Amino acid sequence: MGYKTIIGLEIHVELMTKTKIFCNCTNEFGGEANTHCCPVCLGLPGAIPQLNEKVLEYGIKAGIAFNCDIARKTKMDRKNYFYSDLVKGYQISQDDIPLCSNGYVEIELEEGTKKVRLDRIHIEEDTGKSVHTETGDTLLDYNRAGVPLIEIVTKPDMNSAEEARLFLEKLRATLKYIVFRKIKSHIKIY
Amino acid sequence: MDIIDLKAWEMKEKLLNREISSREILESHLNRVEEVEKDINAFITINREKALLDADIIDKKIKNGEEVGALAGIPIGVKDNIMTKDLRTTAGSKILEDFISPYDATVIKKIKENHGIILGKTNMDEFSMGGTTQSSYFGPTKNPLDNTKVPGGSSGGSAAAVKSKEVPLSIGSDTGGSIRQPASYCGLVGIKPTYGLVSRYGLIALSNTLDQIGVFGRDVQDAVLMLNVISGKDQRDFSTMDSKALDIESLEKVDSLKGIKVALPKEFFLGEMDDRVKAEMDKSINIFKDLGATIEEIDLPSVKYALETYHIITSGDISSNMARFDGIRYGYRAKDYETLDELYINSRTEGFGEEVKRRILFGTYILSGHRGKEYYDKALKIRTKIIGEFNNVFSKYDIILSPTSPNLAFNLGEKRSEIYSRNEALFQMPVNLAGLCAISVPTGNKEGLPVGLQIIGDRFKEIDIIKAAFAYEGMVK
Repeated sequence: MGYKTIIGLEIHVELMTKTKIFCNCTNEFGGEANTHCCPVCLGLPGAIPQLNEKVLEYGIKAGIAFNCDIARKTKMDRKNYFYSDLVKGYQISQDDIPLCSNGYVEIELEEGTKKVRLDRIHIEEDTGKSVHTETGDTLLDYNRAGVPLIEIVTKPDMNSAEEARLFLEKLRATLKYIVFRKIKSHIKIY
Repeated sequence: MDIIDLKAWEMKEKLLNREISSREILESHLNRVEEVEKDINAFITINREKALLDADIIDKKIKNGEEVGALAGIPIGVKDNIMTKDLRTTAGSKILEDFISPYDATVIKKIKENHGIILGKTNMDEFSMGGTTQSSYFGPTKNPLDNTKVPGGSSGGSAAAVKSKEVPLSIGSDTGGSIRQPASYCGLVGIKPTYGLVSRYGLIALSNTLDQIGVFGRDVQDAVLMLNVISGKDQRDFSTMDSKALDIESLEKVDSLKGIKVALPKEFFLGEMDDRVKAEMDKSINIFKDLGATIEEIDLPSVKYALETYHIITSGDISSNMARFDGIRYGYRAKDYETLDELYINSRTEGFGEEVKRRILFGTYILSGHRGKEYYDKALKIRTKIIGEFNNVFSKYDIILSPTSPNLAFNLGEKRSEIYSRNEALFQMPVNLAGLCAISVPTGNKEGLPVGLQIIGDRFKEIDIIKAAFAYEGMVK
């Protein structure tokens, strides 16, 4: 077999800030459907997003922990697509100027330390949740709409499932320690 | 004198002196609405019941000797793209025909805190896309001065409502001339404030970096009264700044413009211009000279690209901003659909009018793939160039003068040539592209359709254009 395993990962991490990324709604997992919502996170006409400073702070902390360059000037961009759990018809994310870039995570292999390079870490908002019922209906819960995320993108530097596992463990442990040590159980990697 | 003939500031004086009551003010305006609406169609929704309750509350406050706000008892028209809680907000579109907002726009909160009375929601081009108020789903608004003419747009309902004395004051929005042009066509004072002076929270976005809420009044003082209430920093709109720039308290009516340096951009006078506008402009220049201002011709070479720049930026923004109207959470949903895609397609096909669809298509096209760089990014560069040229002018001059529009109000249903639209765009769009403030003041011609004089000021220099407008108005009244 002439094939070589090459793995790159894109990881979304939910930030457990008190409030959502662009409004003052509580950022809380679960809860009765559509109770943690306001005109901003519901994307109602006329509403204007307002960036939560904590999201920026957490994003930068992660960037520093993973040896990234931190952008001196950054911006948000719109990613346009239609889906019923996407309230505005676009996701507010970062495109050409991510908050953090060019980092790395070191993992320990038998043959020594390996650097897995990070392409970028950017901040963005989560979408709502579609709930598909047995009767074939789709229900929509927007409690999660506007929950802050960081997206971590690696270079294709891992060459086995074991390396990917080690990378994720290191990443998870670091994030827990630097950003969320008080709320350990709330880190989700998916 | 009938109450509706009074200016807002006069009404307020009489109200505070207890010569008239808030209820009397409101009822006289509601009667006027009854009388003229069938001919004018300035309003989409009338807020009769709630407005009457509000008026009674204000009368009670005055009776009890309580403090009342700056707009106490003044009936106000609100453009229907500004969110009003419990009162429908349609944006002139079928897709929002039954939409009732759960929240108030910041400007509405401020109006309510100052005891202004929202009499109704005014007609507009659908989602502000147009300059005639003919693209409204709720039928065209007519110019109160001549019912065969358009009132201008897109805030045509707000202009017509004030001109026809259905309300003394109204608010509109201006993305590329949508307040100044109808003010000019209807013979009113209209102010497009600096980008960032008035909160956009609760204004349906057309083009986010160009939109600004502004005001209509029958004289400068009325317009300023309204502007003063709605300006100021808002936590919910990060582009807003503290409005100390607009120090109304220190503003006294001026009758001299000695020492004021006025710039006349050559580029504004190269194209076709209605003879009547030309004549009024010449008179106006002489009035400014008589007032003691110095006037010099200047160059703004890049404004000739304003129309293309504006349409590329706004259409790009529109294609994205209109995406939320998908029939899922609120607004119109098609009756027939099998799949999710059909739900979107049918709802938007049936819900949006022609002009909105045209701009969504154009915007989507120019943002797709490599075209984003080719068009949108280039338009942003030209915009920066235009801003630079204005900065240069304002480093040497206080204000810029031009006609608000090279044209007069034209016939309803009349198809205008591309050159006609292009000429008009030249006078209005650069102000939004550069985030400047501008006021349109009637020139005072006594016969025929009105002409507007546009006074453009630097960012957050509202005080400069208002002073000039006061002085000019004093001379032409």
